[in-house]
Amino acid sequence: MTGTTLLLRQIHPTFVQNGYATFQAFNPSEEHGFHLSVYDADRIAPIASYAHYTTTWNKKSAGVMAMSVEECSAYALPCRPDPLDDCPEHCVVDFTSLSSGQRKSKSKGLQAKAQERGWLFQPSNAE
Amino acid sequence: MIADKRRDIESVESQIVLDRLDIRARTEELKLLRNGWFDGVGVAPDCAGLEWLAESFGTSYPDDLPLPYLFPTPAGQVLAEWSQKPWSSSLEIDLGTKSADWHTLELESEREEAKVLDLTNADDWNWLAQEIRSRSGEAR
Repeated sequence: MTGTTLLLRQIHPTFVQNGYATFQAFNPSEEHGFHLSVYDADRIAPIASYAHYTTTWNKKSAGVMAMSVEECSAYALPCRPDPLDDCPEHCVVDFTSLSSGQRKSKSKGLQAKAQERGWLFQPSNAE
Repeated sequence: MIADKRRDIESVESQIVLDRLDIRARTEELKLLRNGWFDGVGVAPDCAGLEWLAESFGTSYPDDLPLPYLFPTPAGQVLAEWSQKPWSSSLEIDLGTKSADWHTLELESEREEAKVLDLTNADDWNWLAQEIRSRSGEAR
């Protein structure tokens, strides 16, 4: 993982309106330990990450957006590999030790970066 | 057969073009959510609350201002977002108490502002409209 590594984020369909993804999609919840779950794009392509997420993990995704490690670092958000048995490409962006307001601001920053980059993959039935 | 029926329409007296972010249409979509909508968790927003929200935007939010994107939150509330670069503004609306947390962030400087609004109070709607108007120089 380097500074230019893209971190792939799956976006829940309900978090998309007219192609616009809410900052909630970049704001990890307490249930996830305030860790944003992402894929290392140096190790898996956006379309393959989508396939893994929706089939192996059987979760819903409207598509894939991304921010770089450097962009996370600019918001003082540490990123690190977090390999899982069924997902060796798994990484996390660490939002722990932040207040609710700080998490909101930083997730808005990541949202803006991801929106500038645009969708890296959307299934053909996406809105 | 379809073509014959089309010939029966002689004129259209009027048409309504919905904004792609039409609040009423979006709240109707949100009414379709059921508990568990967010990968097994996620509370469905209250339908009466969504009705109040649509009516409130209709009566209290000026027509000439950009409409927000509307999203449910996993806690069963509603999040309104305005993308008015370089500003990212949001309103987290509690459908029960009819209060809302306003937050706006200037993305480049990271300057931010926050305020709690009472959405039963016309003055707070006016304040919200002024905030959006002041940032609406650029297209969303």
